[in-house]
Amino acid sequence: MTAVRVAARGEDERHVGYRLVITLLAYALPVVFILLPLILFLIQSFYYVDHGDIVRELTLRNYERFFTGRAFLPVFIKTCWLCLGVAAITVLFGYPVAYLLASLEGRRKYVMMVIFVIPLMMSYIIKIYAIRAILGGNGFLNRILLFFGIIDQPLTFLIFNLQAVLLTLSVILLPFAMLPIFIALERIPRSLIDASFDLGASSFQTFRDVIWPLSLQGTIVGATFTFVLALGDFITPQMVGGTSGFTFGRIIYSQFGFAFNWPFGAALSVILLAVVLVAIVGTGLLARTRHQL
Amino acid sequence: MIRLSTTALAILGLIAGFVLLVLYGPLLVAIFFSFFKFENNAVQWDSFSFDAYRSLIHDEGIIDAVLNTLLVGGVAVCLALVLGTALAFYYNSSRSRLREVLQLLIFLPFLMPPIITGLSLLVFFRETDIPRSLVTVVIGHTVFVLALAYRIILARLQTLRSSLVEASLDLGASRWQTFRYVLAPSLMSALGASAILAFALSFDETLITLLVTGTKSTLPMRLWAMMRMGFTPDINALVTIILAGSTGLSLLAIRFVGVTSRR
Amino acid sequence: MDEAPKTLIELRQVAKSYSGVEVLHDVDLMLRDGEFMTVLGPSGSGKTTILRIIGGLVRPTSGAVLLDGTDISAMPINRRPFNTVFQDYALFPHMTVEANVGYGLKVRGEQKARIRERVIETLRLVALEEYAARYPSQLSGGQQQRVALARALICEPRLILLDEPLGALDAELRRQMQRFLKRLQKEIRTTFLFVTHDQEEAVTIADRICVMNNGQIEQIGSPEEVYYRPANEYVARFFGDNNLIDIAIGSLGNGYREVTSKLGTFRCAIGNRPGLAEVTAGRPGKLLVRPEAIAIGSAGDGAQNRLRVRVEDMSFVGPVSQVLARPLAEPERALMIKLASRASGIPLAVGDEAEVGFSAEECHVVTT
Repeated sequence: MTAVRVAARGEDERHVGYRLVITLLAYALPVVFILLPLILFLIQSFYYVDHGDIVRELTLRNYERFFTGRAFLPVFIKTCWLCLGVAAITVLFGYPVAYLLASLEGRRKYVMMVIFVIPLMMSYIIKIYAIRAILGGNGFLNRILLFFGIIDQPLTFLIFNLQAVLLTLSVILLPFAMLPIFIALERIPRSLIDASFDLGASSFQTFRDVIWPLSLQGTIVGATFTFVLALGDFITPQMVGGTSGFTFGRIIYSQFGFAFNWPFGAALSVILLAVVLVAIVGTGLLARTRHQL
Repeated sequence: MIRLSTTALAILGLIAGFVLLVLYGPLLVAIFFSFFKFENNAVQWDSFSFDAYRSLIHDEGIIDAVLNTLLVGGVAVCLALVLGTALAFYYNSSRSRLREVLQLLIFLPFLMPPIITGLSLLVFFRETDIPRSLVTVVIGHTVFVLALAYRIILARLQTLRSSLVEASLDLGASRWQTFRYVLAPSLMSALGASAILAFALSFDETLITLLVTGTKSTLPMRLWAMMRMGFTPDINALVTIILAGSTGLSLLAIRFVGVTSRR
Repeated sequence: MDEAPKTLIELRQVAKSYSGVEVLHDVDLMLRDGEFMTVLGPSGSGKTTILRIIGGLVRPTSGAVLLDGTDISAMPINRRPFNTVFQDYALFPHMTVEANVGYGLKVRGEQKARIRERVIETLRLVALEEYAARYPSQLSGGQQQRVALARALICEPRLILLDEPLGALDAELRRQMQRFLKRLQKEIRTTFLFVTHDQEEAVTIADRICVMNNGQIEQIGSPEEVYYRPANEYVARFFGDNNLIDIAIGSLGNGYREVTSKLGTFRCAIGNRPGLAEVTAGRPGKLLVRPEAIAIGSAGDGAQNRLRVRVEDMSFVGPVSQVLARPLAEPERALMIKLASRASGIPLAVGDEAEVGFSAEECHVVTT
């Protein structure tokens, strides 16, 4: 059922030419500014750099360097694990929150949703900076813990390392995990839950057998979303990662900055993109085998 | 809607409370320090003032950056809305297989890590010799938020009954009149929601901007630069103002969407 | 006052296919100016397609649509002087009743004051003038329906097309609306083309009925014509209950034709029965006798056609009582008889044998 298709049945000659022009216009922007850059980017990954100049010849050396060099592949794998961790944490905390919100009525539900989404409105950089201030040796968290006597030495392991990156990303990305889960939970028709209770199931059984399976797809979407966002982030590691919190994103970024090896950076990005695509497609397939609501 | 037993409610409430604390921690820190000073490694509890806000008004660099951010956001949103509407209409009235490909292309910049979107545009601008400036930033933002606007508008378009368009034509209206009187009003809520969300995304967009920006900067760029040198106190004031503003806008958006969706 | 009816719309050999599936086969239809025609048929019969072709919402694959003799097949929807009342009413949800009804005039560039006047006038016609400021979502189904009607009427079209408009209403409301529409049409004398699948509805409101089946027109005629003189078995079965008996043609008598069947030999009057002529020419056919045309016992005295039956079942259905009887000559066959109910009851009992009769005039022959 379409809104603007009224006289399309039984084509008019006049309309066909018109449609062609519209079609071309419609494709123009996405192709020029999305497809083209990506293709150029892909090609760039096959060039190489010689003494500071980009040589436009096709080669696989960038990819070779990634797989054989000692620095890159391990960092990449480490980053992937880190981001999986972020995805896990955000979903772990995001699900209960989404669940609670989904159980609220009317006005309250949307007000609470706004409350949980507001933190997204805070400037990204300042947020990281504030988190750094909280987690640091001299930061709020330590001060409070010291004040209450829970510890007698400030905790130093919370900042300028990979754990810090993990925590920071989790805090920043949590709302992104929560939203898809919330939407999925909202979609479940009340009648299904009522039916479950009517048939004698307990709250737990209803959750386990009805609610959880039906919300699984949304959960997977939330996790994937968070994973992808974390994977490409290079600012957070830079600000709270210190020297040991080096992620793949930072390596890529530096190729376009100090290291000035654009082709190599492009190759690394392509690898990153490949992982992202696998994640999206993989989880997409996984989600589709579930029963759709 | 889910029913909760009191124990479940309590546990979930606790978790939610904890999450809320964690999420608002950074916000509260920023807001707090826009009013209080931090000197000699300690909080000066008696230093409550609006000094930070006052110096903000005089900080030209920041003001400039904010204006640029607003400009970029405004233009990107307009472009995204117009293109999003056009593309949504196209998708809806087309029957070719190719439209799925087109849709995928539109979603791509949103699905991929922003770093890749930014980098590919960077490479593109370099290869085509387009100088990096606010224009390239606008392009980057538009490409990014287009997916959002398109999705929201398309979703709304698909729920419109075709009989409404037929009725309008049947009553003698031209296609333009039909769009103006029947379709556009129905799309208002979708356009409004898209505009607000897109603007919010664009405002704080850091990753892509960082890569395709020229010499003039948006706010995130300014902040990025300041990160090395150290932040001035008025930054906290700025953040607080932005928070207040966006909160207000979101509440407005909720009412807006709530009211129009009744029909 | 009886002048020759003028043809408003003519469909000439109109056919429509959707991706190879033929929905209308070479349809010919002449719609008279000022009449209330109903297009009747089951879903998939093509009745809505005809409506949409006339309205301009669909282009015919072949054939022509003529208005006052001029071909308008290429005319776009918004130029045609017809208005449609849609099945889902299609009221603009973001406009008030007043704005909805005035829409047709607004897009024509009429002045605001004049529009307002006409809107109130038209709303009065459908008894909704107090609801002008409401929104469609605030109205009941029946009220929305009348707004849709008003919106179509205000443009003073030559023809109003109604696409199963009463489908969503409850029985009582539907009957009210049927009466209302009939009265309205007589008053304003605009041509109405009304699509429905409900044969009772069609018979109630139409001047003429166009019976459709599988993309073809089976018969066009007044309600009495299609009921008493159905063109074929399909039309016969469409309206009411009937008794259909396989027959073979016999000899010709004075004003009647003899037909033979397993139930006996009967006489059927000849006049105005094209079906009889066709069956005489060799096509297979059946004898049609309406249940209410059969009289039981002494009431049947004097009827040319008689046979003996055994009563199997009787039921009281309000104003009518139904009797299911088995002809003694062919007990596997059932004969349905309808009698006017009496408070004192029908003088019959299950298991009784009785003689029933029906006149030659009440007989009809249809092709199979």
